Amino acid sequence: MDILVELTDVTKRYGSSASQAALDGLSLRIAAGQVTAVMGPSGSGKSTLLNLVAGLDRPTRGTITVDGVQLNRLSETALARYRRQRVGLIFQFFNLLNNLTALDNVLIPAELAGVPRRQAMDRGRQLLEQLGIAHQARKYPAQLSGGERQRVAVARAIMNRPALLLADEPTGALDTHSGEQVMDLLADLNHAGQTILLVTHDPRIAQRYASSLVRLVDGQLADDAPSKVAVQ
Amino acid sequence: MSAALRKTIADLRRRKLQSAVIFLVVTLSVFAGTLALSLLVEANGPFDRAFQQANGAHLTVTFDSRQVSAAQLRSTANLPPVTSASGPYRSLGVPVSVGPGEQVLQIQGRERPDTTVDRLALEEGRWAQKTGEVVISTHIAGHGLGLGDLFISDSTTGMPSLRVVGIATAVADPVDAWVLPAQLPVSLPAPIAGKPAGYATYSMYYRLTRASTDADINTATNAIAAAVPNGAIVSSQNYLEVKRQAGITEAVMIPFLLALSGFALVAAALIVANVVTGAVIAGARDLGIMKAVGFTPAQLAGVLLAEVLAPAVLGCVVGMPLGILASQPLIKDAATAFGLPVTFAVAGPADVLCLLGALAIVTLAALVPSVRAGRIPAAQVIAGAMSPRTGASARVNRLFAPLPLGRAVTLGGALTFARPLRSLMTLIAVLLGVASVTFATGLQQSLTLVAAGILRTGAVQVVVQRQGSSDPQVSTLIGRQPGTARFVPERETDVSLNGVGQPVALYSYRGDSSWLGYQLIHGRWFHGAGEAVAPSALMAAAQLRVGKVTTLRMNGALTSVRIVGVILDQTNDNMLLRADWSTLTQLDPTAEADQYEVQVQPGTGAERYGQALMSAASPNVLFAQTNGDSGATSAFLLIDTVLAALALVLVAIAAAGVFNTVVLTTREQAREMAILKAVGMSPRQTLTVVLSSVVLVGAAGGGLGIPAGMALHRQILTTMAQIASRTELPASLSVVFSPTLLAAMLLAGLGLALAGAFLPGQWAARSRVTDVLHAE
Repeated sequence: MDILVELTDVTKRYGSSASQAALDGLSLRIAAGQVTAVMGPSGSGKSTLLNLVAGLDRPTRGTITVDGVQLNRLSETALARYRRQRVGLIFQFFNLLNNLTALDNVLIPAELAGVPRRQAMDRGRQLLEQLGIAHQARKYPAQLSGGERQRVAVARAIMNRPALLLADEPTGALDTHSGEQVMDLLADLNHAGQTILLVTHDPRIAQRYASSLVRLVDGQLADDAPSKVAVQ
Repeated sequence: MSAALRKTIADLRRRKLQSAVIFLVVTLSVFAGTLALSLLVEANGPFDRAFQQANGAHLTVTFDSRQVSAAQLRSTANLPPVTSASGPYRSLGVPVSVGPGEQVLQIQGRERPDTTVDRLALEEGRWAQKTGEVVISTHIAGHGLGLGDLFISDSTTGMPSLRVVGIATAVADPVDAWVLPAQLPVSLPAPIAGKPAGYATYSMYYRLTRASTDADINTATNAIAAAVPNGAIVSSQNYLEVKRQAGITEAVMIPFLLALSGFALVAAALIVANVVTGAVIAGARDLGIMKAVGFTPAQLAGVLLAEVLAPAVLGCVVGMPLGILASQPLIKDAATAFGLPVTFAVAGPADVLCLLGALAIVTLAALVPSVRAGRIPAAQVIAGAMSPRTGASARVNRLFAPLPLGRAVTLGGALTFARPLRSLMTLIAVLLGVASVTFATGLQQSLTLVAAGILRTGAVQVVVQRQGSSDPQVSTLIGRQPGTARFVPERETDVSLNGVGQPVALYSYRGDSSWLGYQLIHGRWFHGAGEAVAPSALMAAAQLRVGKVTTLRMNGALTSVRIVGVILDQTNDNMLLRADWSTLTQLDPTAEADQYEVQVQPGTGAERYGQALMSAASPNVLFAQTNGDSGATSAFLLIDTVLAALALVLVAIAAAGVFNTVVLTTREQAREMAILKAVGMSPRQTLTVVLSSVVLVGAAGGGLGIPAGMALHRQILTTMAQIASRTELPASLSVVFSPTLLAAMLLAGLGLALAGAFLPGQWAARSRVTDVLHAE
């Protein structure tokens, strides 16, 4: 099985060196093509792990390798390029740009990567179609429901065909029905080969959708076992 | 400690950057306001103030020391029209060498500067105390002479070498230097270039019982003339005439000072309002929370006011003394240009007005949004602060998105419209900054051209005056002198002209004079007999126009000339004509040239040429001097300095305005920036977004500021020329904006905007995504 993400002895401290570590000597390997759920209580280091893998933050110690790229060695510009090309991010509160239409939000990663607008639009429309919100392409985020906003966020995350999709509580701000729809969508993507790292509080989601589970407690690995329920 | 006070202090600690921006902008604004108002106040009526301080003389009379005794002159102080007097002081025109140059100085013998009438203001150094010491006047100290310089006079004059120990200013007194009376010889053995005689004169300075009109002063002059032997008076000077001259300089300064001061005040007010309003809007979410926990609208307004007033008051406290200090060198330059003593000037009421104005603008700008916020329900305020903003920015985003400029550029361009009013205020500030720079650059270039046009240094480098020798002898000497490219002999003669009450100077040239460098306003240079050119003032006084024929009279002789051109000319109060030699010989067939204008060959130094020419001639045959400085250039220099200072302050204010706008915008857009960075926007692209957000403002400010500055330049230049010397200006003097310069100005607008945005752009590029997104 190919390893897509590898963390070796990763420690992250915020503030002084004497402060409590958000992640403390964490080593972890995530295989390609899996849905890996990261669970744990508040303050256990779930979001920190996601930020480090996303290249949004740098570890205090240790190395992180994603899709063959060692993140520690990258400059800020190279990290931006990494985020643009190799990972897609889905947030709990969608984080769409309110001044842009749904379609323009989806196009942003491609446009930042220098993809010609026409080519990007073809791909963007295709994704919105695929996610069932093509009719909302010209609407602004404020005019969309929570579920629709998260679909737009998913489309944006996969716009540049990233190797890894990072989802931070993707259903946290949605009602049950919308949440299930979004998770089904992610499962479909996984079936098509997309690797997903999913942070969630909800054991039912982890149980239902994840093929492996990472449990964190106080910044350390509690266990790393396959999910009890196989991915559909 | 009350909750409101605690909240205020906490906010001041938390929002250090906002407080710093308010402090900076208020400091700059009060600085600019104080500077501008101080200059305006000081430029208003400086002669009256200086005259009062010096207990200046209403009437200064110069007497021939051979015709009248000092005792006789002292008794004139008791004449009925005279209230008090000082003098007599003996004066003499003495030729002296200073470094490589030679000049004739009008030196006066005076024991002390603090006399009852015509007190001298000692600007630097001290008064002369012993033999060999001299105090020079500020009007010559500004031309390369200073403390410690040594004046060496010819041994035949009986004057010792003089070391400059002090610099003093006399109000309305043409004396060049002062020594102790015992050092001044009674007379000089030979005639001196440019001076009527080599004998000493006495100067008396009178205060009069009645001196409000020229007639009052004439009455006093007549009474004094009657009390001394006939022919003893050499000249007299009426203080009203000097005051009128000072008034002209003052009137020249006022229009552009008013324009730039107005710019500075408007720009400062706009930016202060922008900063404060922005600060209040940025804290809108806090307002809602404060209301929710029980703050009353009055307490809310109080907290907001205190938050902006604290740094604003500090800005006033720092800005005002800075403005006062910065204005001193300019006020000193202005005083020197007016020929007045230098004082430390504080325009108290104007400064207080400026300070109160700044605080009023800050208070108003903070009150309006805070009162509005106070009226809106708390939930709505919080929701308003959190809710997505669409509107104009969203529409512009849609419009810009397809443009092939790169997404970072189009996203930034659309940001301009996120807060249209804020962008408009910033645009006006940039517009004023660019307009001032355009205006200042244009005026500086025009004044340089005017100075070159008046001095004609490009055409004439040396002027030779004939002394004890004949016209042919001097002409031959100049013609044979190595380095002479060409020269033209000339003669100045007074003639009468129909419609002009005073004598008009006729300058006649023998030979080709078309190369002399006078700039033509209309028509052409004269070509021969019966043609003349004149400046605008004479044309107006004699009701002449190009093509009209007028008659010249001199000692009963008559001749007619056709006016063929109007020239830019500042000689003889502009009441003059320039014509061919044949015009003069019809009035005076025996006339000889007494002055020669020389153009030297390229690579020949004018000063060295003059010295070589004087060395080649026998003593007292001729006197050569370089064509150069005049009073106009020091006034122009002052105008340039003031222009540069105020334009610089305006540019700083505009840049601070842009900085403030971008700081507010990037803070408001922190979430959007973080999202963009999360999906892959690089630091450089982030900086591009921020810089692009001010490109439109910079381009529009530059694009509108340039024509505004050009229009102001044309208007002020015309006004200044009319006030200063009743002259029109050649069109070429106002066409100083080359396409390159205009392009540079446009780029300056953009550069100003980009410079103001760069630092906040860098901050935005470096901000951490996780900090922003997790703060939600």
